[in-house]
Parts: sequence; structure tokens; C-alpha cells
Amino acid sequence: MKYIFLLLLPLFLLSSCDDSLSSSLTHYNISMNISLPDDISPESVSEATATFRNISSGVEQKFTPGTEISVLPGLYDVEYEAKALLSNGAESRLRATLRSVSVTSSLLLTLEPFSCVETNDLIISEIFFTGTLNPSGNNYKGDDYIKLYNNGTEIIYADGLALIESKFNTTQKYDYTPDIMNEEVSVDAIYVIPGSGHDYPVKPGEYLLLADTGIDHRHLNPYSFDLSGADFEWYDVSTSPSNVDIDSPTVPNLDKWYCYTNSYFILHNRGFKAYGLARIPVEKERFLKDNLYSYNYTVVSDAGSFPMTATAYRIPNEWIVDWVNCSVKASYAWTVCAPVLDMGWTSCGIIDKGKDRFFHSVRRKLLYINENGNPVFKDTNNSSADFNPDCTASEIELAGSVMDQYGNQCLTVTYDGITPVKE
Amino acid sequence: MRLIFIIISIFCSIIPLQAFTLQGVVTDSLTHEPVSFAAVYITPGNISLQTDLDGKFTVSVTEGMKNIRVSYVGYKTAEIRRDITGNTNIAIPLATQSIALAEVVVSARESEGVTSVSRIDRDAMKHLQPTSFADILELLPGGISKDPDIGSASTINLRETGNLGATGTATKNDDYAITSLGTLFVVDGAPINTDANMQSIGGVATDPNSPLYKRDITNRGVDMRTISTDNIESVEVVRGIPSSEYGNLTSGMVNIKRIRRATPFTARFKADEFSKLFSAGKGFAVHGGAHILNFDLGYLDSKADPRNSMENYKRLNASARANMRFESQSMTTYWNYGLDYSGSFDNARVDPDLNLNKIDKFKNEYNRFALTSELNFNLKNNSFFSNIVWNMAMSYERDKLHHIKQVAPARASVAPTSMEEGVHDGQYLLSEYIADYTSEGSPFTAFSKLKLNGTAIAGATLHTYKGGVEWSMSKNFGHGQKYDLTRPLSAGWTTRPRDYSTIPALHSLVAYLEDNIRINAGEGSMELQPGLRATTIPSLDSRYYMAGRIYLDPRLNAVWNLPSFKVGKHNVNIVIGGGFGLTTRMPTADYLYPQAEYSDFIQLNYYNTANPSELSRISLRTYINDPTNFNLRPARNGKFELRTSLSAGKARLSVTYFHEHLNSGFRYSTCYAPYSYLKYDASAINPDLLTAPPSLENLPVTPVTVLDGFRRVTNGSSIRKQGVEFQLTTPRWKPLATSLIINGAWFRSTYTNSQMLYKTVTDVVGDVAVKDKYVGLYDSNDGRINTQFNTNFMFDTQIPRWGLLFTTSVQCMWRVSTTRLRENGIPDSYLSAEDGELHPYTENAVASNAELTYLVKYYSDELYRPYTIPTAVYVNLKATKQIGSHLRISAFVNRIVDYLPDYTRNGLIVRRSASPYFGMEINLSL
Repeated sequence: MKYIFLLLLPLFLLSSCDDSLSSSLTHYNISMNISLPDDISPESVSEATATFRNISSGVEQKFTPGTEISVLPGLYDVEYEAKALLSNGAESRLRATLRSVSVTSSLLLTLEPFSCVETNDLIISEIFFTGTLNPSGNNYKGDDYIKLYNNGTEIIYADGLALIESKFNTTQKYDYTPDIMNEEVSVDAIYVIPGSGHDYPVKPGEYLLLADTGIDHRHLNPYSFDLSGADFEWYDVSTSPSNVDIDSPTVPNLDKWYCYTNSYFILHNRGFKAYGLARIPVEKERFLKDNLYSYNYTVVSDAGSFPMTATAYRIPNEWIVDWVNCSVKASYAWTVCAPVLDMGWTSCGIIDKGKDRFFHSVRRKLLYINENGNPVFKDTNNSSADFNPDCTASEIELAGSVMDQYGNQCLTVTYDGITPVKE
Repeated sequence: MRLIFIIISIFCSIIPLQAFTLQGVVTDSLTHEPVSFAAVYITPGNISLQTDLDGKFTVSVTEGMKNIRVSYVGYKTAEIRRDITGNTNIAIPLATQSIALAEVVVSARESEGVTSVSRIDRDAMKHLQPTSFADILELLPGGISKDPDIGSASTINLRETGNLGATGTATKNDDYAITSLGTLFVVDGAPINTDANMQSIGGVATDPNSPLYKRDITNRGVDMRTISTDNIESVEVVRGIPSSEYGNLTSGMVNIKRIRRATPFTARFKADEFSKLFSAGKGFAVHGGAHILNFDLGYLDSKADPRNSMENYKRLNASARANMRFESQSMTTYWNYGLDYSGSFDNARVDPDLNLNKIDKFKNEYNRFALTSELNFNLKNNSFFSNIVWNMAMSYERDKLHHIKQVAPARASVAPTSMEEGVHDGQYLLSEYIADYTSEGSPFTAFSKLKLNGTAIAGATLHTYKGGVEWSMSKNFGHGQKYDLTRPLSAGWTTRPRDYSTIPALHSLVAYLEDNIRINAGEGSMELQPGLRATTIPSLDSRYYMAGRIYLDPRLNAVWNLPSFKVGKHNVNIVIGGGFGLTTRMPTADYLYPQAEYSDFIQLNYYNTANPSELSRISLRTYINDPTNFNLRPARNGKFELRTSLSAGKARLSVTYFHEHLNSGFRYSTCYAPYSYLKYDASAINPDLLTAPPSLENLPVTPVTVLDGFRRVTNGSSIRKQGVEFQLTTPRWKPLATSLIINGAWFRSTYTNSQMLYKTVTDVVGDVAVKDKYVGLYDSNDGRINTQFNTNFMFDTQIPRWGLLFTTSVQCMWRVSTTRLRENGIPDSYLSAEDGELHPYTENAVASNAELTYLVKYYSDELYRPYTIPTAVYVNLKATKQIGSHLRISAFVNRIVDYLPDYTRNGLIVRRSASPYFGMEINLSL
């Protein structure tokens, strides 16, 4: 059943009443067409808001049904959120987003909200992609990591869980064809936790640390920390001395299914990528054979429009356990997944290549401490809302190691980069 | 390829008139110093010529009454009538004009000789206010004013657009280094030999923005930043086919003659937004003008960016020259000799305040000492040779490149440390360190040339012939690159140091012969100049193809002066000329003896977490590749040109069409070869049992063979140059005291490869990269075709009464366009890791091995779309004002007005902008 939920009809266009000012301040009226999923009736929807966020200025405007939506021309991210009562009596959240809407005239926007379905699996609680600095101020790169967490109440077996990196950058948008983004994600690295099914249990409230290189990095950089106790590391065999990866004997390796690079895999140090977890229900060989994604896009420059062809691997949204878009505040262009996986994005640093990003990670927001004393983190498939950006990395807090380029030591330990752990 | 060339001299005997030799010397009536380059015009016969450096001229004339007119700027024109009845010697004194500032030539003059030459005199240089030699090239056809890029080595481009990128911007491309390497620079008769210069970091492709890369001059000829213009009397840029006297070039030649005359004490102070310059000089006449001594000194301090004091360039030059004349009964002997020093100092470092305590300092020093001597015997009796010249030159350089850098490996990295082939342990770079890299070069060059000149008259033809032999050598005595292999300049560094003094000396032997045949035919005349130059490298090892071979450069220039006729009250002269010839450039020491390339493969990579510095082990298999190409040939360019000039009164138009083709330019190409090594499984090591690094025995092992690349010198570059050059000079228009000089050029330059190229593909099949197993060899073109068309309009206003000289240049770059050449993505053959052999890439081969399909490369048609930059117009102003008799001030503003319209390419608007560049200077003359 389709239902047209008109917030407002365009009433009139502002005419030139004041010649000196109005031409640069023309507002445009927006009408919204909300197309609800079939199992939700319009009567069950309440507390609807539409948020218009101007990408260039950052100004946010919220509108509720019945008010006139009138915005300045520009590029907008549009978010729609509402509560819905499902027929089974449960409450669900309706969410819809439109990214990079260009408002140059009055528009009719069509939104297709989805209701959030949460999975009962490990979640990404932290991504430390920035790395640290040497005492000289040079970037040190081997100590990046990703932390997983059991946010539920049951034991979860990590065996077979794949760590994946998005193929596309969140800072540069191209029209990739065929466009599969609504159904599948495109990835360029797949590292899978080994095990036969019950080898790596993660109890409720426990973390699992996946590191780039599981060594004591203080040997190489006194401002770094020890990762020799990591649970897993990703290791890439290399034959050339110009790009070597170290295989730590104390940390088991993730099973490398695929990686785009011939040298070594490293989390995108400036934060252009999205990271996720997936449970791939097929064998490696079959996956690599069946899930190759060849796509085309066009790079337009003044020298010409260059059609490009590239390949990645495609993973259906249903296999994705968690997905976190990372980006840079000043360079954000789009999110590289369907909104059902993640309708927002998080970041470290304001500008691209900003030096203030080092030693910082993105960490999931604490909701509350449960009866067992374990933190429960927010997971609404919206990284903008679920993550605290620019946090001191948790491993730096735990080690009490250096937390900035001036060599200051970290003295506090927090759950989520903000809420301190009380002794 | 060898060419056999036969010189056919054509003896014409049209009018059997008796001919005699007329010799003259032109001097300043007050100082009795010779007046060089004065114009001499003899009628009837319409012979026009110039005096040489010593103020002399020699010409063959028919008997009868002759009118000899001599003119030179700053002097009153002298006219002498003389009846010629036998061989005659005359002296012509010139009186100076009493005006404070005489009219001067402020542009390049197109010569009236047998080939295309742009001549730039002291006055033009003074008015241009250059910082270095590079600045005066804007006066050549096709030239346009540019801001000095003092942070990069400045190399010359003659008759070509230079390498352009996809959007028409100039780029540096080492594959076409022959462009500047093939342009010969001669200073006072001695070539600047850069063959043994190898101040680079050796074999590593570096960041194009790094100071090391931008200032690297290896294999690129002369860095024009190092040449000061303040002691230059005149420059001749030979764009056409040079005389056989000059060789070891492909493109053209720059002949610099320095001041050798009595001058007042002069001092120059120049300041512009990039630099400050000071120079001073004086010329003394001693012994009543028989001997002349010149001294000068110059200092330049410049910054690549005026806001950044951390990156700068300094130049110091000093010169002492003597010009001695000895008269005896049988001959006049001139002995010119000089001692020169030029120092060039590049500095670049990062600002420690902006970069925490980061250390990154780059210093490139160049100290050149040169000794030149020219002994010139002018025989007075008319023997077969009238003139014997012995040139000798030596230079010694102390070059030092020093780079200190704090290196922080971004992660654990490995430094290969073995200088030998085989299996050895590398070293982990576990912490920050200071890399200290030096390269010490001491190139020594020697040059000696003996030449004989003579004239002979046969009927109505005058033969001016010359022949000579020449030897030159270069050898680098420097100890080369020195650094600690465990502390390389960057993590992932795989090159090894090299001692330059182990490289053999490079010698070359040359003999040449040339005849200038002048035929007077009534009022017109014809000049024919055939020549032959033979070059060999005697010191080469017999394994080289070039060893023992002689390379011949036949060259022919001809020019026909049509009889002049009158249109209205103006004499109209038409000249038609042309020429063709081969030019040969021998390879440099670096091309003949390139640096060895190392391939290192990791066999075991064991990192001990608990005690990484003592218990880790990295085992490498090292191969040394000899990049020497024993089959290397010299680079040879075929040049052809057709010229015409038309003059009516003082107006003159000259147009030249040229076509040049070089197919054997030097380039480093990547070659591939299979390498085998063992791969050890580190997981078999039990860290708890270790007391020392693990031993390789008993570890599980897999043998591996992969393809890997290394650079090798080849004759793989091709440059095709075509174009039209033109210059129009108008007489001065009295009411505005202004003349107009229009010059410009249309160039079409094609840069491509002349040999097949290896290219890799990035596909991976299974876990194995295709390029580890197969590499394709493609018969494809990797270059571009560039065209440009420009015209410069120079309004030259001179008001001698006010001592004012003012020029307005409107420089129009009408169009710059670049198009990539079509690539062929289907391999001709492929190299296989299995046997290391090349196999033809055929349908059968692909059918039996599906992996070979990956070797086909696809190129989008968009790549070949031409990119054109529309018109850009700039206006430059220059002014010089004489104040009193001792002071002259000058100022310039380049691009004070510009017209740079936006243009749309592929739906995108491209906006352009220009910023003015200005400066001023004070000249004192006491």
C-alpha cells in the first residue's frame, strides 16, 4: 500500500519584493512524499521529524508535519525519522535519508523509510584508523586496530566473522554502475576470523581486538603502545623489502580472503573508508568466484571524461553484521552503503590530513551500564548518532601511554571516550 | 647507420674578373681599441659582413673602385673609397657619437649568415635585466617571459614545446632529457662538458616535488641558473645546422662570448621579488691597447618563494681574463686566456618551528673552476692557412650534495645491507634515525682543439675553409654516494652507494673539415657551406657496439642573396637559404656506465615480539642487475631547414621552416627478468627456544620464481620537431621614436618511444599477481604531440636625447595544444617467469594459456582527445633611464596586464590567473 503523506504543498514562490536583498536570500519550498513500507499503516506513525542539514554551512533545520518546509538553496542531507507501532505491538523506528540533495528550486522529495532491525551479533565498538606520531612528529602507522564487542546477553562465537573495508571512499562520490548499493556493499579487503564454529567465544561485555600488527609498538615508537596481546592481526606476505609486514608470533593471523593491495593492508589513515563485519555463509573459493563486482564510473576533468573500470567484492546487506561509515568533516561526500546498514557517518579530525586526528579513534556511545557492570553501547545503525568522534583510543587509555603529539600521557580511562570509568 | 658523404665543391666561373683580398681593421678613434661586430658594407658587389672579435674583416673583392661603409651603434658611420689594384690592407677609425645614449638593439637579431642564428647583444641583455642566462631565452622565436624558477635546475629547449601534461602544463620528463643534453654550450671557444656530472641520489624515482629531484641535472646538460649574464658580450643561439666546427650536440648550440675590451668600472644592483643580485666588472687596456685585462665578480641570492627563507639558491661567480696581442713581422698573435670560478648553492630545509623537531636539510653545492686559453696566430703572408688557433680548456668541479633527514619509519621496515649478490640478512629499521646522505662528485674535464683557417680565391669564388682536430675528456674523481646502508633516506630504500671515481674516463676524438664557398654572380651572391665532422670514443671497452666506430656528421648550409632591386626609394634584398645535416650526441658517463640496480627478495621475515632487536631475522636474496647496455648508440638528429628573408630599407622579415627528427634519444627503460629465491615458513620457529636469531636450516621452504624489473639505458626515445619561426623588424617611426619588432613561432613537437616497451598489468589471479609470471612487451606509443603558436610584439621606444629606452612587449601565446599518441594494448610478445624467454603473443599462445588474456591493456578513447589552451596575452614593460654619465636605472614589470579568458573543457570551466613579476636595478659606470 502506498500512501502519500504530504507535509506541505508548495504555496508560492517568493517574488521580488525587495530588490536589494531578496535575490540572494530566496528560499525554496520543499514538499515530501513519504512512501511507507507495506507493513506499516500511516495511522501507526507518530513523532515524525524531517531534518535538513546544509552540507556546506552545517546549519540544521527541523520540520514537523504541518509546518512549511522552506530552505535556502544549497546541498542538503535530508533525514526523516518517526516512531511506528508495528502490528505485533512492538515499537520500531522509521528512518529515511536522502544524501546530497541539491536545492536549486522548489522540489518534491520522495522518501522510502525503513524500520530498523537490529542483529544479535558482535558490533564494532571502536575503530582506530589514525595511528600515532613519533616523538619527532612523524606519523607511525603499524598500530591501527578495530575493536569488536558483545553488546548482547548471550555468548557469541566470533569464528568466521569477516572484517571488511569498503571499496568506495566517503569523500568522493562517483556514479558507479551497475549501482548495487541498495542491496549490497562493495568491499576491497576481507579478513576472516579463523575457527571451526566454537573456537573463539566472546562473552557478553567482552571485547575482541583485531590489530594491524600484534607487536609491542613501543620498540618502534615510544609514543605508541603494546598490541602484542591483541586477539588477531591481519598479516600480508610480501617479498619486497620496500613494503614488509611483520607477522607477530604471539598473535594469530586473520584468514586473508582478499585484499586490494600487493603490499600490506592498513586502515585508511585519513578516514575515507567504511568498515564492517560480515558473516559470509559460503566457502571462500565460492565467494571469490561468485561475488566479484565489476563496475564502471566516469572521472570527469577538464582533460576529458575518462570511463574507468574496476573490481571489488560484493556482499549482500543480509550478510552484514555491522557497518560504520568513517569520513572527514570537511571532505564528506556520501555514505557508501544502503541506509539500512548505516544512515550516518563518524570521523576523526575536522579537515583532511589534519594533524589533530592522530592518537584518536571513533568509539561507540555508552547507553548505560547493565546489571552485570558491562557497558551497553548504542546501536541504531546511524553512526552519526551511535559514535563519539575524535576520542582518545581505548588502548591508549588502558596503557596510559602518550595521547598527543606533545607527549602528554593519558590519565583517564573511559567507556566511550567521554564517560569515565569509575573505580 | 653510417652515411657516406661526398663534398662536391662547385666551382663557378661566371665572370673572369681578377679578385684580390681586402683586409681591414676597425678601431675606436680615441682608444684605438678594436671594434668588434661592426657592420661592413662594400659596393659595388653588395658585400655585407661583420668584423670579428679583433675588429678585423677579410673579404675577397674584384678589382676596381670600392666604397667601404662601416657602422656600429654608438659610432658615426665611416665611409672610405679605395681603388683595389692588388691585395689591400686598410685601417678604419670610428668616431664615437656625442649623444649620451645611442640607439641600441633590444631584441634578438636574426643573423644574415648561412644558418639560423639568434644573436643577443649586451644591450639587449642590459635592457632585459636578467637574473640568469635562462631569462634571455624569451628573446628567441617561440620564447615567452617566465618567472625564474630558481628552485629547479633550468634546462634549455630549442625549437620545441617541451614536455606537456594532459592539460597542457609543462612537465619534466627524464625520457626526453636529450632535449637539453643535446644543446651545446660554448663559452669563449670551449664547450661546457657535463658528461661526468652525476650529482643525484641514484636510481630512485623520487617525489617530483622533492628538492633532490628538481635540482638533479644528471644527463640533462647545463643548468642555466649557474650562468651569470653580466660578463657576456654576446650570445649566439644556433637554432639551425651548426658549423662542423661544433658537435656533440643534437638540437643546437649556444655560443657565449664574454667581454674582452676596455670598459669603465661598472656595478649592477638588481632586486626583484625573488632575488637580489650584485655584480661588478672592469676592463683595462695596457701597453697602448695591445693587451686587455678583464675582471668581474657577481653574487646572486634568491628564494624559490619570497615568503619562504628556507629554500634558496645562491650563486657566486668571478672571472679574470686576459687578451694579449703580439705583433711580429710574419704574424699577429693573440693569446686569450682566463680563469673562472662559479659557485652554485642550493639550500632547502623544512621549518623546524612548523614541523616539531623534524630535521630535513638539503644542500647542493657546485664549485667550478675553469681555465680557458686560445692562442691565435694570424699569418700575414698569404699562405694556404691564414690563421692557426689552438684552444685549450680545463675545468674541475667540487660538487657536494648533502641531505640530512630525520627518518621515522611509518612501520617496521627493512633495509637491505648487502653490496653483494646472494643470501644475506637485512636489518629491521626499528626506530627513528637521522639519515645522512652525501654525494661527492669531482668531474674533471679537459679539452684541446687545433684549428686551421684559410681563404683561397678561385675565379669568382672565395673559399673560406677550416679544419681541425679536437680531443676532450671527462672523468669524475669524486667518491660518490656515501651513506650508512642501515640508515637510508627513506624506509624501503633498495639502492646501494656508488663510488664515482671507479667509473672510467670518457674520451672523445673529433676531426672536422668545412669549406665556405662564396660565389659572386653579378650583383647577387651565393654561399655554400659543406662540412663533415667525424667523432669517435677511443677509450671504450670492446664489448660496446660504439667501440672503434667513427660517426660522421655531414652538414650542408646554403644561402643565395638575390640581386637587390629598388622599390620606390628603398633597396630590396631577398635571401633564400637552407640546409640539412646530421648532429650526433655521444652518451654521458652515466649512460655508458650506469649505476648497478639491486633486486632484493624477502626469504624469511621473522620478527620476535619480546626482543625484536636481538632475536629477529630477515633473510634476503639479493640479485645485482647490470643495467649497462653494450649495444648503446649515440643519439643522432637529422636537421633540415629552409629560410628566406626580405629586407626593404630598414625593415626586415625573416621566416624559417624546420624539420628535425631524432630517433635514438637516451632513456632509461624498464626491463624484466625472472628471479628465484626460497620462501621460508616462519611459523615453524618456536620463540621460546631462541637465544639468537633463528637459523634457516630445518625451516619449511618453498622455492619461488617471479619476474621483476630494473632500469636499463636504451636509445628508446624519439623526438620529431617541426615548425616555422619568424621575425619582423620595422624602421623606427620618427614621431614616436618607436620601432616594432614582431617575432614568434609555431612549433609541433612529437615525443614518443622508438623501441617497444615492457608494461605490467595489475591483475591478480588466485593469490598470484599476473605480473609475477608474465610481462608483456608492447609495440605502442607512449608520448604526446604538442603544438604551440605564439607571437611577441615589442614596441621599442628610444629617445637618446633623454637617455630613455622604453619597451612594451605584448606576448601572445595564441594556442597550446597536446594530444596523446594512440596506444596499442595488445602485446607483441610476452616474457614468462618459467623460462625467462620472450614468446610471441599469438592467438595460439592465448588459447593454450588463458592467463595471457590479462596482458591485453585497454585504453579509453577519451585519452586521445586533444586538449587546447586558448589565447593568453601578457603585457611586459621595461624601462631604462640614463642619469648623467655614470648612472643608469632600469625597471621592469612582466604581466602588468594580462588577458586570460576562462574556457570550458569537457563541461568544466577552467579559470586562469597570472601575477605580475617586477624588479628594478641600478647600474653605475665610473
